[in-house]
Amino acid sequence: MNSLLLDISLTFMIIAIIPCIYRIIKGPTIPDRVIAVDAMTTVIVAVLGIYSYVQGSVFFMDVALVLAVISFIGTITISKYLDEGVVF
Amino acid sequence: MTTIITKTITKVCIPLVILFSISLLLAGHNNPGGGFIGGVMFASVIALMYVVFGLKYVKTFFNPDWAKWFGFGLTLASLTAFAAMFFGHNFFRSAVEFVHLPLFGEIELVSAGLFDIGVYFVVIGSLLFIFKNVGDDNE
Repeated sequence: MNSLLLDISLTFMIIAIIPCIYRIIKGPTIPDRVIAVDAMTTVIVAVLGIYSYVQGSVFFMDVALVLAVISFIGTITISKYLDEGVVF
Repeated sequence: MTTIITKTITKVCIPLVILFSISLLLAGHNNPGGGFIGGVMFASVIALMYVVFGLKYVKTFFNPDWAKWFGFGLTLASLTAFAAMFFGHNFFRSAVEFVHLPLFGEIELVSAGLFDIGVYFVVIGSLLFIFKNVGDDNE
């Protein structure tokens, strides 16, 4: 169940998180940081899906689903706040 | 200025996430899940509905008093803790029972599940009470 291809893909996805972290810390404006957080969460969800297959356990799928939903809601809320100045 | 795409996605999201939160609540103490994360999922999807459709519009058809949910959950969790003392056991002791249901097979009923349901209502009530009252104060 553990192949070289899965290890390589996991490695590259972990590497893909690094520019997101750089953009979160360095980002000149707030929309840059919001987009970076959204991209990083998407990568982490993909990592959890592959890691769930590698470990042969379904427990990581719950974590991935919760993380995806909370990231979606947070991104929409911050976008609306940046766009209009109010949340509701 | 929420677009029609966001509104449609929200309408699809709400029942699915509420179902997922109930499944996390009932997954209980042996699998990932429990009262806290179930309540957080429920509160976040209601918060998404408040954000996308606007608090003023949502209030016209769905306006529960979240502080009462908080009080109900806290009462339920406390009473579950005290129940074991009347049978001569320790505080917060849990009872385990295996029942056989026709369609589901053998399932495990635990009295700590009632405490989890109390935590679920406490988390929903407190998070949404804060969210609604903080967002409401500009008018």
